[in-house]
Amino acid sequence: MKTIEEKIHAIQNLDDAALEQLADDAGVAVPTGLGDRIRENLAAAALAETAGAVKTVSPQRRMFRRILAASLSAAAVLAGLVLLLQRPAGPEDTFDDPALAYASLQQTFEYISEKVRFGAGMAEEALPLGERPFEILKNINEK
Amino acid sequence: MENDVFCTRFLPLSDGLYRLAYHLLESEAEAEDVVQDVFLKLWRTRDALDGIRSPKAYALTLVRNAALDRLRQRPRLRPLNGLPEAEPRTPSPDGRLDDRERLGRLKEALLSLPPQQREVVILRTLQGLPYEEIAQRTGMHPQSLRVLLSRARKTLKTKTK
Repeated sequence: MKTIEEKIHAIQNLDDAALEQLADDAGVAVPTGLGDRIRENLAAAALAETAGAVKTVSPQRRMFRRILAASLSAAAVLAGLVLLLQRPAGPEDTFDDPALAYASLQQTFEYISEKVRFGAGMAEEALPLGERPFEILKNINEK
Repeated sequence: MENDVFCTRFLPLSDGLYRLAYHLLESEAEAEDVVQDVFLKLWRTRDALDGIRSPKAYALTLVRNAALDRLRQRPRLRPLNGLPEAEPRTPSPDGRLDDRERLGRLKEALLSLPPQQREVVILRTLQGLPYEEIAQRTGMHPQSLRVLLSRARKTLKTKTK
């Protein structure tokens, strides 16, 4: 039977090929769930890294972040107040009486309709003018 | 090295590493301990692993070295008859938990999660997979996945406090 020292010496002398040969020995039964346990261990290590990253924020930096957040919040509130005070009075956008609302809507549509009709009339009038260049070109070609 | 690359290259080596460790140490428990230690070491140095040409040869060498360390410590590790039991380890004076202790707690918390939550945490944290890919693998809706992961993180946080 080998002593520990002899064993250590023998292992130290194993080359890469010998290590591979031992690793490929299918005669050794691998415990069930080994791969899962390794994954779980590594996941715990990964979680520890994440937790560590959060914990490594220095107190000075934490204080700076708090001051910055408080300043930004105060600036936002101030800006909101300024905007609120400077807001111009806008037109009323609702009606209490549905009949009035309907009348206003009808009036708006009539206005739009009138403008569309006017636009369509102008386009109709302009149509013959648009054909003028073709007529001129046609005359030149015929001559 | 990216987490997913690490997992693809190194995790499939676990069986071979165990077999080698077992040959060298002739103890199932110690062989598994060594393999776990080697994987942790690889994980912590993963940023420097991109230049490794043969992950297998590298990992086998790490197992060999870890096994040698174990063998060198063996006489001291064996309990001697008649001597009192070693006192349980206490946290270091500054109150910080020992690395192993912290890992142990995290692992315990991880194992206490329902299987689906555990798998999602592992895929996200260890393998660093994007939500879309985890959703594909698990067949979950991405939105439900985020909710599940958030719950799992809360549980882990509570259990490791």
